[in-house]
Amino acid sequence: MKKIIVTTLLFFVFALSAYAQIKVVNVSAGTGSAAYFGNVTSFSFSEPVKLIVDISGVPVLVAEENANRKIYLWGFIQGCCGSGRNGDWTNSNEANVMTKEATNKWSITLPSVKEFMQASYKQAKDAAVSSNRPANETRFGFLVKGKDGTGDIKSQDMEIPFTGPVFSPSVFTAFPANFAQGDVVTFTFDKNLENNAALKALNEFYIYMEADVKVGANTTVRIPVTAANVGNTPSLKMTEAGGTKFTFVGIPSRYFTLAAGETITEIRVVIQSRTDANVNSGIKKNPVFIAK
Amino acid sequence: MKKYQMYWVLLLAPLLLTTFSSCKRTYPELDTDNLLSIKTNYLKGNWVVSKVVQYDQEAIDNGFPVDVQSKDITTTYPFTDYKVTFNLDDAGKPTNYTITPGASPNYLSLNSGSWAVDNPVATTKITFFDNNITNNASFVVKTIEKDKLVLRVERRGSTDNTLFLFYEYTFVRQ
Repeated sequence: MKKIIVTTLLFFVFALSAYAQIKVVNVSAGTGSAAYFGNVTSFSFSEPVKLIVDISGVPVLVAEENANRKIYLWGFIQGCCGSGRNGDWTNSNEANVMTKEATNKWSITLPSVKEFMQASYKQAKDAAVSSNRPANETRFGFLVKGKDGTGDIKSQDMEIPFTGPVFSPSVFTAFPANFAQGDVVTFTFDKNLENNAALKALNEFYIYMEADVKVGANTTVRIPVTAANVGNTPSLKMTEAGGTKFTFVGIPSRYFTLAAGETITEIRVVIQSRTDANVNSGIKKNPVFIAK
Repeated sequence: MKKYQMYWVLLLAPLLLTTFSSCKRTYPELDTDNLLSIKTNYLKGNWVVSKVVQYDQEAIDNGFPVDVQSKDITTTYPFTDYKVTFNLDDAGKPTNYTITPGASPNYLSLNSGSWAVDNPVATTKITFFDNNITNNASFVVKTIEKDKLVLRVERRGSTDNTLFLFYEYTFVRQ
């Protein structure tokens, strides 16, 4: 069985800079039939967005607020799927708890619709078509609710539009975005976009990798070599690819010891110096690869 | 002078029309059996990989720039070791095959057995079966020419069968 590994590039510094320019979408929730807010601030599938929801039109949620209980986001793409972050209807996931901005106003910041939904843009386009809209009229759906939604402690369904993902150069990229452990994958590091001055000043780079490996019902962490020994392992050296870019090409399963039936579910990568493992791209900047 | 030219045109036009309309064109009957053998006969023989390009389906779906949708990975691993032999019987029907990957990744995970095409005239898929006919894997056909094949290996998710990448192999006849 082939397992897909999906890349979700979590670059801490880039996330911070992105949050500095974050788009804000304001909506007023109500009750009854679903509402579509077509004139909100435009944002793309792949960029962070802050939702601010006015719940004053939803008496049951105002009552929640007045009882000092919190409000939660419940996300979905109509015709596709619900967010894996939602939790249970009777017990919303704390990851979706909203922040009280003012009386009857609650907010939450999504890293992106892509990441929040763990869905592809193709799925979103297919969902639009299945809802009798052109493929490019993609929408993010959500409602706001109490921790326990029993008894319809919730707003109506709401939808807001989003545009397609925008390609932008990144300090680290994985090609292709989705791959299985037996596929060829190319990691590219552009030192020109690196914020760590000590790392940026170098002219040779090495890859430190660790993988979550599914062993039966359990998951264990494996590494090819320790960070301290990466610089002594020529096969983990990145190759100059012109300009300020360096690449590493590999097949993940060939770098980790895997018994029959074991599969890689996640890989974390750090770019580091040959001589000093402490000069690196930082653990928070790891790309994370998640098996589907 | 122009007046005389016009007379000639008026005089010859009916004659030309009569000549062409009486020229009856005949076409031979479409011999689909013959077409079938021509197509599969193109496959017959030994082929070796000359180029492999990897495509990122998500980048394609996202409409990202063309230069970030694919990568030529021919030299990243020994893909040019990869060889396929298609055998046919005397009637031109597919019989058995051998895949010799050498040190190249073998995404079809099969080495020998029988093979078949989905449509002999308009082939879109070549399917390989192992010797016990319990496992199979396919190339998706992009191009079949006398001395060149372009075949794709599609990689799909195990849970939702979603296409997430594909490899495009160019083969040349050995």
